Amino acid sequence: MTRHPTSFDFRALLIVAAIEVGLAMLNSSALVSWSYDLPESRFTEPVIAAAEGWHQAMQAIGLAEPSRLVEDWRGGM
Amino acid sequence: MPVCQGTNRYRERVVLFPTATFAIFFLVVLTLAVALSGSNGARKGMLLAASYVFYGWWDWRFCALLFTSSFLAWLGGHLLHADRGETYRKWVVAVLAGALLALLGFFKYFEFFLESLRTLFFRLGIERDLPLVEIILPVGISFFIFQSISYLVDCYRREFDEKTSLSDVLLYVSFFPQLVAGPIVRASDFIPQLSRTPRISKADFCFGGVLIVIGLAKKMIVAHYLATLLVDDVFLDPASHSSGMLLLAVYGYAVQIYCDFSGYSDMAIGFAALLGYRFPRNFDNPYRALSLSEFWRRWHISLSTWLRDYLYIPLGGSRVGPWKTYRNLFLTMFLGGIWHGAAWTFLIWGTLHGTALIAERLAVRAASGSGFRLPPVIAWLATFHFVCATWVFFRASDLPAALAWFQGFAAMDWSFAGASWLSVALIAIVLVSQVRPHADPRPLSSRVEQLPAWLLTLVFGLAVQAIVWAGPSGTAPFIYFQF
Repeated sequence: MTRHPTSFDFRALLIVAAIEVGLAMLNSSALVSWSYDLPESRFTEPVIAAAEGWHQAMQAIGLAEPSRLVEDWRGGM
Repeated sequence: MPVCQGTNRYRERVVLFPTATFAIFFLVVLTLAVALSGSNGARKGMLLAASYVFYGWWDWRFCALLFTSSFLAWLGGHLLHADRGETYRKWVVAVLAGALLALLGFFKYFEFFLESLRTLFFRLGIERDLPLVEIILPVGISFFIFQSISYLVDCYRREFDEKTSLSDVLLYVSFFPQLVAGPIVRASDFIPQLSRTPRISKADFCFGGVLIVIGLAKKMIVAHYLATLLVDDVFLDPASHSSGMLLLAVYGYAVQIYCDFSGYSDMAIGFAALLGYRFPRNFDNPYRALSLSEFWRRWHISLSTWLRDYLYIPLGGSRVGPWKTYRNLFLTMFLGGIWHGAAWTFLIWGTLHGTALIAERLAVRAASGSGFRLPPVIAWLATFHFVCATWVFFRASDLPAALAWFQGFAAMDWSFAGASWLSVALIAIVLVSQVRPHADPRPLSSRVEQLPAWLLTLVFGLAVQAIVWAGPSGTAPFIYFQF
């Protein structure tokens, strides 16, 4: 089927995906907490392992630092 | 007793918009929607399946209830298309609307009815062994039952030319952005949109994105801070707070419930726009209203117009003479009150609004000959404070707690000890933002639309991240999930 010339669908998907990846990079610690709160199922363990691995990777490249600094700053208020 | 007491923990399993679960879910849905954009049928089938997964995440057993509600509506529409005269049509709509309301009544009011009966028997000294039941209130039942009735009545009014397929009715009732807390989308507004594959334009995308960011900010910053810093604490024990703090807490709650509910509506409209569908707006700066009738044209618009079109006007509206008009007005607000839940507090809230709307009409009629009008500042103050006073009943955990608020307020102890500057600032900012005649995000989204895609990504991404950093940690359920 021919796509509409003004269709923005695919770019919309790319933008949403890029935003979500960016948020996952900056909020990796929150992702770990989220994975711990998931209801128990056979998928829970692999999800937790993936979230922890992702967080370690973000810590290694320094992307987990801004959220930690904000948390510390808020904790000190 | 509020409906959701004892089920709050259970209710936490509802997929909330500002969570990683929803972010992953929405990304999968959007990916499939784009992949299936060549086939409207497949795309709609996927959205239907996704909507049932969304609802089933909370409790899959209630998917059957969601299906039953939609099926009854579709069955009604199907029977109404067989042209067998007006009496037959009236019977069909009455029986099926009655069945839908019976479903709502059972889940929402049966437990309250038994509790009230038990209390009555106890007070009369009559021993009766009434069954002890705890009925789980299905999330969003008030919304999806009203949408089903909307479809049924719109079919009765012949607002659709052709028969709608069962799958389209199922999708209309269950479409996930509006499923659990509205807006209550009209069948005649939404079902025609299903006839072709929607294309997501850059304008729709920016409009949706701006609304999602605004909704997130309202919910995650304003509503969340006001709840945790002020409102929850004061309403937990009104008797132990000064009049000043009670007043500040009710102002806080007025702003909290507005930001919580309109924030959810903004996000629902935004996510629907990202999928190419249009929902009506649900709020329009309600706290700038200069009269109660204006407030109801600006607050929860989809419920107000639903009640107007499917209850007030069928009762005769304002075309039946003044006394019947007042009766209709009162009944509409009274039923609007108990729609929110089986509790004396909601009943009183609806009754107060109904009575005040009648009083307002009488006052307008009396003043119309003399040309007298209240100065706008006085009209605003009176409207806003009446709305706030009724919020006390809406927010209080039960009737004694509401009465304790009024008793504490009457003590006239104007101390504000314990009030945080952030709560006061948030209340002030939101109320001042209501000054504009209409809440229209279009001018902002039109400006955002001029940005190239990479900058758009950066702007929306940074805006969401800023909200995440600014808001308190964790995500509280939306207030309207209990209805």
